[in-house]
Amino acid sequence: MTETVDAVQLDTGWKAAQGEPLLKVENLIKHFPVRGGMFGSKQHVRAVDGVSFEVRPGETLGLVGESGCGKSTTGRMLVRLLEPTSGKITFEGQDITHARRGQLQRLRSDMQIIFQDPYSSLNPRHTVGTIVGMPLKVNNINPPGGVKKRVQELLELVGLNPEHYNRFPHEFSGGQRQRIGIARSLALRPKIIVADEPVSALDVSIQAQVINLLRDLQRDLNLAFVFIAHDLAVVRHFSQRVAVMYLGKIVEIGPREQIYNRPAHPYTKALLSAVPDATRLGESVGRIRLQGDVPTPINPPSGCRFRTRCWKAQDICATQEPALSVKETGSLAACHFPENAVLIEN
Amino acid sequence: MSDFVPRQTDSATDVLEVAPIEETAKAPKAIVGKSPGQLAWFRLKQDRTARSTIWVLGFFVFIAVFADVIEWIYGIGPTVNSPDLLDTTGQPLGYLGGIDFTTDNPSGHIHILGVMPATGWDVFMQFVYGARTSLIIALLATVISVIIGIFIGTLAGYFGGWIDQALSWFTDYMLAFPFVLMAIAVIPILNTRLEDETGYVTVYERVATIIVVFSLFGWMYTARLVRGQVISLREREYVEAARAAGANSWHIMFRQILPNLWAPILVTFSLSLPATVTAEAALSFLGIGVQQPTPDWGRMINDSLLYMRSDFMYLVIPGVSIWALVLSFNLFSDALRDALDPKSSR
Repeated sequence: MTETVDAVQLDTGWKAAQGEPLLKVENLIKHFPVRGGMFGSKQHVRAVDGVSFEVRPGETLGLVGESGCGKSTTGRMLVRLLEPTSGKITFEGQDITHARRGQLQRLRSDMQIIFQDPYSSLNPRHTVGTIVGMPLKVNNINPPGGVKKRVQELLELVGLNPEHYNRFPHEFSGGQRQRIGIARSLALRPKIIVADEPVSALDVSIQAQVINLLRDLQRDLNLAFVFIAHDLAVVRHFSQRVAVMYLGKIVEIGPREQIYNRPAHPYTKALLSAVPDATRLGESVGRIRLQGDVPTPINPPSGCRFRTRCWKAQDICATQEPALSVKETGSLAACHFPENAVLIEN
Repeated sequence: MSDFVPRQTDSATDVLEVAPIEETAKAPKAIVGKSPGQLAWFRLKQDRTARSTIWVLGFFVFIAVFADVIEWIYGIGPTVNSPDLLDTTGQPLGYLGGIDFTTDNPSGHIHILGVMPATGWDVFMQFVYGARTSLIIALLATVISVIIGIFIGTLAGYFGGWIDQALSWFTDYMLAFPFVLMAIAVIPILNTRLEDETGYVTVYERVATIIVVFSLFGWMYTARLVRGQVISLREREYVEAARAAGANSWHIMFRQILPNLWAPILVTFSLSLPATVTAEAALSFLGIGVQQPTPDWGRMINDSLLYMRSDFMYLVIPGVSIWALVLSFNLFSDALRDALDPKSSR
């Protein structure tokens, strides 16, 4: 356990110049109760099982992992759409894990979310003006010049025609709809935005536009992002730091270049090897094929959760859960037998 | 269900079905924004059944609203005794229940639908004022019961948990009552409470009693429908976006979710309105609805049974009126459902 604490401190030291972290997540856990059979005892889906990370002002943390690994659940807990089972979320030094009304209200304006599906994230019965102005309205904010002017500024900011104020979502394309969603999340001038797979529902050609828009916004407004995605190329393009999740846990976290060039965790390596590369077309060398499926999060494997699919797994992996610790590559990884490295301890 | 834009997941046939409508809708001018409601109205106008039933319904609403004007033009009221038009046994003179298009008769007025046996009241004016009674009772009772249903259904669906359980149990409890038996039991009791010393209950009190009983026993189907819809809509991402922006439950229920339910609610409304017309006529037929001398179709049928052999037209006229009104309403609701939800299959 002590190594873990040290490791987190080391990670903090990585960008100490930027001061206090904006968002700090410690050992966040979310268990969903499920009923097992008619007389079965109550079981829990361990969607997120002890996740810790930090985000500094203006920084982007990429959160990657395959479907069902708990990325979205983590994102939803950050903006308090889901109540964490346990753990601690600190925002600007304040504990917001179980924030209530007044505190939550302030938090809502500092922290916003962009959703994955631009078709279900906009109310089909509302005009663009109503949708983008909704956060102002529900918080009783009357910006100088009126809500309409502010909404039109926001539309312009995200690259939409401000005169489309009175149109309905069904008149827009997927990319434009996502821009509307982004404008809505910017309405309250947040400091951090949780982007829950913001481009995975879009065409590849549109993805780049939306990503570049987000990057411009980040630069202009000094926004921090928690960028949730399963597309590694997109995350690489957008994030300064990357956290890789597997079955409710972070298995590796570190600066982008370290993760992408020198992955320490076998799972990270397998993920990266699955990214198609045009320069190596036709070669099957280097592609790591993971066997089997992701185990059920109701009853995850003992010890290291990745051991059932890991080609390096040994006895210790089943008995002892590896803690996140600094590996030779420089990133934090939870593995007994990291890649390209000898163990620091043991 | 209220989203008229073909989604990515739609089959090719769906896209083909919807596309021509949108083309014709948007072809004349370059780009004119249309709300989902406007699109539905456009589709409704294209529907031949809807157009013809609108005329029939419009006719009934017109005579109900302008009953006084019609009386003024027609020249005779609904309850003017004309014993001179009857023979010694109380049967109308002439053919088909005394139909007379000339003023060359003892009353000095035309009687285009004949006169009533025993009293000599003009059947046409009874029909006109009967439409008013039927439509007022049906409209108010349906509006009130739909509003109650919306409230209970929305609360149950949105909050879930024990609130849902309690409200759903109450809905089932109310559904278990046999409506007509309850009405036969309740209405006379209420009227006894309302009557003055001489045992007289005013028309307004009688009508109010009927409306209250219909409202109290008519909201359950709307509540069930709305509850189911709310349960499916509350998980949409635009609801989460509103919650993340700090919206309270009231805003989410009635500003975000409810506007998406207008389509099914409108259809239930237009389906339960004719059912209420029939039920009201049935109550009057059974003698517990409105009483003499208030004109009412159900009461007319009840009255006409005495003279069925000698004066067949007296039975046919209110019967055909109820049939035409209810059939038009039902056909119109079908067309309305198709217009509001073009993707549903019959």
